[in-house]
Amino acid sequence: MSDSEPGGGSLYFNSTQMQSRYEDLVEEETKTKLVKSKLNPFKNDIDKPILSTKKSIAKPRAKPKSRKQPKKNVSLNAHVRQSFENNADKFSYFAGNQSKLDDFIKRITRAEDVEHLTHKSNTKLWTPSEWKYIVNSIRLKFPVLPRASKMTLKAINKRMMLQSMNEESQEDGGSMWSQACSHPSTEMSNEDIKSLYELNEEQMNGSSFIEEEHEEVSPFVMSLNVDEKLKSDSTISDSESEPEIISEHRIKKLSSPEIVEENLHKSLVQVSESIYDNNPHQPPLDPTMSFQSFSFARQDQVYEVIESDVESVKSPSKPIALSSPTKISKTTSPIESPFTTPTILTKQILNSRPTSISRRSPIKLINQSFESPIQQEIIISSDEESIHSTAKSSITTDSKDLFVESQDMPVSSMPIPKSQKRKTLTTTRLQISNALIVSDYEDSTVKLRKISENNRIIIDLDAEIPDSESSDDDFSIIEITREVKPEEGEPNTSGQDVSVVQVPSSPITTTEHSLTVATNIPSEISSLKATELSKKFKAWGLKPVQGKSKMLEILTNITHFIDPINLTNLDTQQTFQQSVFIKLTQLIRSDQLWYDRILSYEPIRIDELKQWLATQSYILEPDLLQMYCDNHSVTTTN
Amino acid sequence: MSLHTTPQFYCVYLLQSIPKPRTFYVGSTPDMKRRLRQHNGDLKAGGAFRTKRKGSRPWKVVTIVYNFPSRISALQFEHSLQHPQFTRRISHDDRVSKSQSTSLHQRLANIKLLITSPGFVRMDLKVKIFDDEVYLAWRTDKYDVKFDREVELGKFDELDINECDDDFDAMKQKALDEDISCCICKANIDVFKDVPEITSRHEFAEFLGRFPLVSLCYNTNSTFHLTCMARSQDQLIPTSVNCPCCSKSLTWSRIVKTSTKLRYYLLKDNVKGLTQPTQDACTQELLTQNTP
Repeated sequence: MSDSEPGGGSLYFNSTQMQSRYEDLVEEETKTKLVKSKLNPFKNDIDKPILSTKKSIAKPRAKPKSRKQPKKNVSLNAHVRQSFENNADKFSYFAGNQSKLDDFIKRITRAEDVEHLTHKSNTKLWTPSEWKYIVNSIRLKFPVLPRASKMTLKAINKRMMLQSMNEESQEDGGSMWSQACSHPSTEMSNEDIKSLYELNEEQMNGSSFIEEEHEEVSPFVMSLNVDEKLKSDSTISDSESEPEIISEHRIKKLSSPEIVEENLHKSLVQVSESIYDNNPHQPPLDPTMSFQSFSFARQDQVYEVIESDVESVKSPSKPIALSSPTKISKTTSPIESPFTTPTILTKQILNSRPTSISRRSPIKLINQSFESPIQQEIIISSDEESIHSTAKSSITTDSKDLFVESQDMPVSSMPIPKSQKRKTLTTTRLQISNALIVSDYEDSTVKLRKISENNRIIIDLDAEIPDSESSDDDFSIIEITREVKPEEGEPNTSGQDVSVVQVPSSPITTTEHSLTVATNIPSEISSLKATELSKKFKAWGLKPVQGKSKMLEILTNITHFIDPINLTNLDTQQTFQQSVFIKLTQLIRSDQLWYDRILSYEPIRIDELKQWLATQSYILEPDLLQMYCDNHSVTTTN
Repeated sequence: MSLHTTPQFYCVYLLQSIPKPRTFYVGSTPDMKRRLRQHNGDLKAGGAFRTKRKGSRPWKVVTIVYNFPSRISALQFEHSLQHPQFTRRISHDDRVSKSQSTSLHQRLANIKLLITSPGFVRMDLKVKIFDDEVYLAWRTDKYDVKFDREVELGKFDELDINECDDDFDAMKQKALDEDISCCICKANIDVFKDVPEITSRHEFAEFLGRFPLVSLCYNTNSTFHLTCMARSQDQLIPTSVNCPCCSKSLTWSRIVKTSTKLRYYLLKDNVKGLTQPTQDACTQELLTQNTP
């Protein structure tokens, strides 16, 4: 702060706050001085000990108010006037007791002389004992006091107790800090106890015991409130996870409980997010389990293991999952994370029901029995490929009903980074008892894919454990993926289709563009996977977007913009940029306004530029435009 | 509504503390002298927080980069110079400063890098140095940054920010006196076009589309549309153009300055509430004098 001019008063402070406080203080002091001076003429020079008063009439004093009149709502001035009027003589009050006056004045002067900051005992006008006497006399004299005065008296008492406490306990006496950090007195006076008895229900429930009377806020009472933290809605499954086992849980949202769901899960092709269904309507026993394969697990090994496991299993009817933790919990964490965290899920076997499924009549899905929960706990040791299972109880029902879950792919204990970050998708994998020939079906909302043809490691163990070779014949696994918004957890009917390609939230537009995709962009590019597309984007210096279709959209626009250049030919950033920028320059030169703007170095708003381009029916992304401006010394602004 | 004009003077400066020669400060201003006084505490109002420390005062100006075509570009340059570690203007390969602490040599290298970066290269920025040591450091080129332009060594006291307005005067004169036409496209330039009621920025933009910028060759006083002149060049914004009449090479920034000034001059009476984003240094001086 630069020098400010001296304010009022002899002292000058740099900070305005301090200055104002100082001025206030000075004012106060002058006021008190005035009062003192008025009283001084009455002073006698004789010093005498004072008898404490019995009557507690409010005296005019400089000290801030600490007591109210026993009579209601009578101001200090009014009372003084009253008392003196009656007597008709100011002096008569004091006349009988000159010493009163002397003492009073003496106290005042004493009080003034001492520093304000220290709370030593000689700053008090009355000693505590005198106060107590006064207070008691009030109580005696006026047995029925209004609430306000009661509070005040109580406050006074507390204050005194506090001070006395503080003086005893601390060397510093009643410094502000010690007072502040000392505990409030929790002793209950007689009055308190009395009033406690008189509390009615309302008061009890509504307030804490310390402050029963709320009318006047006592400055010495503290109340603490603790806000309960809002409990999070999502309940994370209580998985007794052992650190070795990893499994990913994915619940399908199928409305019909008959449908057996089986989640196959392969880490490599993990498409969907771990969005879990918290649908209360879902049958509580959801057989969902999934695993992640050990990264080092190979097909052969798995098969071997299975067989070995198979042998070790006692009851053939037990569904044996290779290495799956079989606990299923219904509520699983809706947390999406780039790494799949280890959890163990229990599996419970669903009740068996007739297997008619609405739309897929030829499909006979394997049911699970609801009635008999089978609990299995299979522990996988992660260190090596060998998998051993310990099965606990097992109640088996029909062999048919028993469902074999999952696959059992040995699971690695390492978190496996997901390949991509995607929007919320749900993938359901159905294991169907009969081998189906299903062709890939792709819709805007759904994608259907048969997995078993793609050489995935799928091991299904039925109640009767078949040969590994034959398992493929008997089962087919179909993967259905659809996009799910995080809020909804709607169950998916079996026939509902589900899209695999990440679909942006507006499926409508993508269908439109999907048509143009095929036409403008060379097939090589459109067939690229999303990861590779984003790599390409980065190579070109563009910002990769989520969603393959979105990226394709962008590319279409660009090709539309710079046609007839073939995108595949542009490999490096420079060539790509060149072709785009040349066209942009051409466009700008054609328009008087924009050309002028740029030539005169006017700061350009990117969104304006984008809008203008849109009117010319070119859609380009802002990051591309920003790149253009940066490369051409065009200032950009908002 | 603000109409973009090239500011009369806007610079980005590098201050060095006299008592602590390893302490620097980067800022920007349209009025260098006043700003220095503010930093040094001579003026009541203003002065940055960082330069307030008693131990660092007084400050001296060692370098300025000027001839910015807009206030915003100067601010962006200043920001990039203050954060050379992660500015997008300097590519990762060229980066000299990789951490917070920057020495004088690094700062000078950053200035060079920024001026030659694609984001600022077409703006024709100029550098002036006021200190011999700094000049030596610049010439030493410790970080080996290619810099082809000239750097002036001068005295700070002699810095004159009110550059001559001859160009503009000549232009104004010509526009008022004669009927001017573009010497390239031969079209007539109507400077006293009727200005319609303009209420929104969009309308204003539309109007400006029909009110092209014109400038003149400071050699022969021949006038032309900016756009016509620029079309002859390959780059989007040319650095210099050749006058078709006298084939003299004209610096683009100078031409632009005249043209924007003229446009403002012609429109300011007709469009309500027209403002320039950067006020002149002299008007700012007036403003500061008014505040007690």
